[in-house]
Amino acid sequence: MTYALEVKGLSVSYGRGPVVNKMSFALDKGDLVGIVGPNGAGKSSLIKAMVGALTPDEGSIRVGGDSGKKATRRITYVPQRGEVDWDFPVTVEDVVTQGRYGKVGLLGRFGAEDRRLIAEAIDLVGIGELKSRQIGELSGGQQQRVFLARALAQQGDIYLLDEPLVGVDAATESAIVEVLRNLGDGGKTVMVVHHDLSTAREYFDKILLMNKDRIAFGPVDEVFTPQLLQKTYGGRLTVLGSGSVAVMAD
Amino acid sequence: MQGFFTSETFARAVEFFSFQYSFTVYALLASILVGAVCAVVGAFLVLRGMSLLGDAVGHATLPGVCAAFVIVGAKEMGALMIGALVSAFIAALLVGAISDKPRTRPDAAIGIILSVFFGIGILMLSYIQNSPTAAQAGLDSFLFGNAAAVSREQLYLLAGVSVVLISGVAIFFRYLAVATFDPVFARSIGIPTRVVHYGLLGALSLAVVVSVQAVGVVLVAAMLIIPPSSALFLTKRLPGVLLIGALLGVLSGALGAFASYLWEGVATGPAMVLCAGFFFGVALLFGPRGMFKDRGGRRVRLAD
Amino acid sequence: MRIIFRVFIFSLALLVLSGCDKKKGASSDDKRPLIVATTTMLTDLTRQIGGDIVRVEGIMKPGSDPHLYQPTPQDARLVASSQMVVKSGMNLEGWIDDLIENAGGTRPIVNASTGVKALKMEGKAGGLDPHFWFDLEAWTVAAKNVGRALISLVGKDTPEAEIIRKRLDAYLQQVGRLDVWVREQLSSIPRDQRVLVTSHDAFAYFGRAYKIEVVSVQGISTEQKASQRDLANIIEKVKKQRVRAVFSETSVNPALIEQVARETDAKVNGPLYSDSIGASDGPAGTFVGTVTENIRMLTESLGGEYFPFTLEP
Repeated sequence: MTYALEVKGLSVSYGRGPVVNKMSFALDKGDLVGIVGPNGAGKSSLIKAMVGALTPDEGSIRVGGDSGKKATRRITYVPQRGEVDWDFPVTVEDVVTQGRYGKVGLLGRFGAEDRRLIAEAIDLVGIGELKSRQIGELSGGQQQRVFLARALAQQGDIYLLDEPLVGVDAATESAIVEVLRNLGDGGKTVMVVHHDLSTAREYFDKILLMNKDRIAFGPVDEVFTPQLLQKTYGGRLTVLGSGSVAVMAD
Repeated sequence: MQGFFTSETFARAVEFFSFQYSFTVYALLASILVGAVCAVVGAFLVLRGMSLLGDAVGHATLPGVCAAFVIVGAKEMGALMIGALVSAFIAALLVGAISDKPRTRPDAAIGIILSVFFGIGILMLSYIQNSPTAAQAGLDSFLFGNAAAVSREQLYLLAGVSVVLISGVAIFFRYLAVATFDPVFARSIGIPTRVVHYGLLGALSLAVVVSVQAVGVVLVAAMLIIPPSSALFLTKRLPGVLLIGALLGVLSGALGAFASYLWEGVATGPAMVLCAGFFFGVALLFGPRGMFKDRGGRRVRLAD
Repeated sequence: MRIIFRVFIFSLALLVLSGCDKKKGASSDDKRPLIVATTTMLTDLTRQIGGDIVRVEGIMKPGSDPHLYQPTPQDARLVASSQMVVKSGMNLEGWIDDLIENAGGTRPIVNASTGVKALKMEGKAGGLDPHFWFDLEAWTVAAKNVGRALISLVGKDTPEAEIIRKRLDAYLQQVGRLDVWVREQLSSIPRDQRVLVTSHDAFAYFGRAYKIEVVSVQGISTEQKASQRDLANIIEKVKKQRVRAVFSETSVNPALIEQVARETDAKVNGPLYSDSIGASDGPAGTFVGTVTENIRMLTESLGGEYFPFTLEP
């Protein structure tokens, strides 16, 4: 069967040995998946490799049957906030516009459809009145929404987000989660590197537990067990009486 | 310093616009072109945090110039420029290679390559000095260009290269912008970031080699960094940075050439850089994205 | 990337290793005193006066620029193994003082320009113009300085000293004759053409001694940067006086002087020998040869009548 996104035996290393080790999983359309694991587990590297920004040592990535460059074009990417140069001279609208570059190309003109998609994406995340601001002028939550809007404007099938809910206010968090849910309902596939164990169960349908290796993957209730979490986090985990868990800060 | 602004000065200022000497026209045009092309290429260096790469590349031309002289056996300008270009480009590549390795940052890589290449160049100069051919006069003055000495042919070359580079930036603008701002995203939409990177290094090497003739090596580095940095205080969008940077570069060039025409002992290059520095100060203090609008550097953040 | 990196390191190593070689070193069989001279003019002078009695090695080679010269470790070794150093003085070669200091030991240092009536540098407060050698009267003072030092070195009452005295006398005669010849040549140049336009200010002493107007683009040191105004002033002068020829120099970049020629009707002639004599196998291989070559170029280009220098009047 053709999965929306299929990763097989993917390994990525940074010279010191693999940070992602023979990762495999398959996602269906409409899946809303959280990637969970301790720091240094290779979560960011995994999605960067999926998006074509890191060259894997081995393994394959297939998107709906396509592989290689064709596959990675259908994947949209939302970076970690910390990796962005906020002083760069671009406005909100400039960034979201970049989402259409894949389609429009180096020298192509922007059509009415492109403009509509850009405006729509900006509105969907709720930053319409900020569109002419330089991105450094925005608050943390607003900044996060800009890159989500860019991903929406791309109109891709697969969305990969790297810790989109770190340091955002409550309103932004719910807004973003709602956008992601709508995407999933609309048949898109969404994969999110998530930092907060306490909300993982609530936000996602499926969870990928990883610590360089794949520890477990599947529906959230099956995977989010103390034993598997213990295995993922090693000694940094404490199981509380009620069955919930607490992770020691690193 | 005796009277800087005498009636003589005024007379010369008026005379400037009669353009009675061709060489002053060449010097003016050369300075303007250097200002424009260095600003446009330099903007991307500054935004990548590799500002001093221009300085490293400039100094790295010396071994190439010496090698070309040794190979060709005479001070043939074409050969010297090709030699300069080759060693400049190699230096730029090596900076990229070294800074890719773990534990070495770009600024250290730049410093290493600058000193090593320049040191090699000095070694080669010594070697040439000691050889019996008495024809090597002024080999190192390749690095210490003077706008007043620019010939028509040099100007044509500079103009040609400037047109090519500026058009190149205009054509590849989207790739350059995204690859500089968000390389991961750029790769994800299929932009060949490696090619963009090498293209930029090649453009830098070209810009440096032709500009060195007009302003000298240290000043080329300044013209690559200062006007674009000033523009960053004046506009919030990248096309604006390129346009305003180029404008400031052109203005600095023109004023520098003008100053060199007015006064003895004021070489064009240093005058240009002083002007560029002055504009930087004004932009920093009074620009819409400058110090005071921004409450001393911290971004003015909107409330959540 | 890795490949480029490795090739680079390898060539670097090759280069460093190849640098450790050549140049003149002290040969242990030769018992003659080793004299080290800085400029090529002084190297020739010392050889002419010292003859076979001494071994003379020059630090600089023909065509290099003493203002900007960078001494090498071999130069340091050379100084250290020498019995005497001859320098030009007046801050021409700032680098020699360091070499001497670091050489250790003691040896007589001859400042060839001692006793020369110095000219101040134009425009700058303090600072002397070091280019004294083209004033042949000053050159004889230098010759005597060197001769005296050589005689001291070999011992005043030795047969070697006697040879040196004879050689010095012959040289002084030759230079005296040369001086007369120079004046004859220059006087054949039409009065209004007696202007010497060069790249840098190396001929002020020449100008003073032989009443030639001397104008330069770059000023005293080749490091100075000319402004467009400086260039314009020279161009004006060349145009006004209808100067026929301007001159490049062997050890200086000719770009600026060529620019002068492009703007005027003057032609670039030369290159003149300014801070160095010529290659040893050419007509300018000695100081005297250099002077005659310079005067020949001057005379011919500025419309005078040239006839070759001979020792007999």
